[in-house]
Amino acid sequence: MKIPFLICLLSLSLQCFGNKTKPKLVNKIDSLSDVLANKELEIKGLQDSIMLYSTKFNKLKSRLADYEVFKGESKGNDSAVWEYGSSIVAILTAIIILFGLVYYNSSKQAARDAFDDQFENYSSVIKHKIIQAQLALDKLDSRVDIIDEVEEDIDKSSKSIENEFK
Amino acid sequence: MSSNNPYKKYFNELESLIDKILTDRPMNHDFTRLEHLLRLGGLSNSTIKSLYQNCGFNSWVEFYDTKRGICSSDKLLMIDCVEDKLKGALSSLKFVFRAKTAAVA
Repeated sequence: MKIPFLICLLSLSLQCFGNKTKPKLVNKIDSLSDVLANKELEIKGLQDSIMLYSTKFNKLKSRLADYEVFKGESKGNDSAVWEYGSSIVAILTAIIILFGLVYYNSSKQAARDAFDDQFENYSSVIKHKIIQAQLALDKLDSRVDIIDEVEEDIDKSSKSIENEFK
Repeated sequence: MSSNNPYKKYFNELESLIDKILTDRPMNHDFTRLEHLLRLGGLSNSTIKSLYQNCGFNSWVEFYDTKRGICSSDKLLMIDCVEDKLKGALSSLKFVFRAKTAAVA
């Protein structure tokens, strides 16, 4: 009978004690709760900040990667431009040299043809003059031969003419 | 007076005959007569033949046939050669007989 009594007494005393300390504890819990809420808000704000900075960082990282890619492509484009340009220059140079050679050869050939034509004309004129001179000389020789021949026996031929054309 | 000059007659006939050969249509007997007149003037047969042979013809007939059908510049040169020689022969004979022609006339 004693033990239940003691237990009851203890519980009653504890109840009496609880009734005295409860307001302090509640207040403390409330303040702790406020603090916790504030901390939560701060954490959330920090989390948002972290997320924001993370996003910004990712954006910057992406831009940096793009820049690196662009830089690489730019270098590639530069080398490609150089190769293309040098090829164009080489081709143009070759074309210019080719045209130069063709122009030189055609000019040389044209000059040679002109000289040949003039020489042929000159040669043909000389040949014609030689033929004319030979013909004139032949005519002159023929006349001289006839004169010499007729004069050799002019008396005989004179008698013949006089006899036939009395 | 001039009609009795045998040299004038000779040269008239020779000149007209050569003119006929050069500008008209001569016959075979015209060339025979031409050779006879040239022979009278003192030309030998070889000289008479040389008038056409040296120009590339074998006879007067070949010369005349070629003249009627000239088809190239070479042939024209050959024809001119013979005609020039005939004119030359006439002028040479006139030159040789110039004194006799003048004396008789």
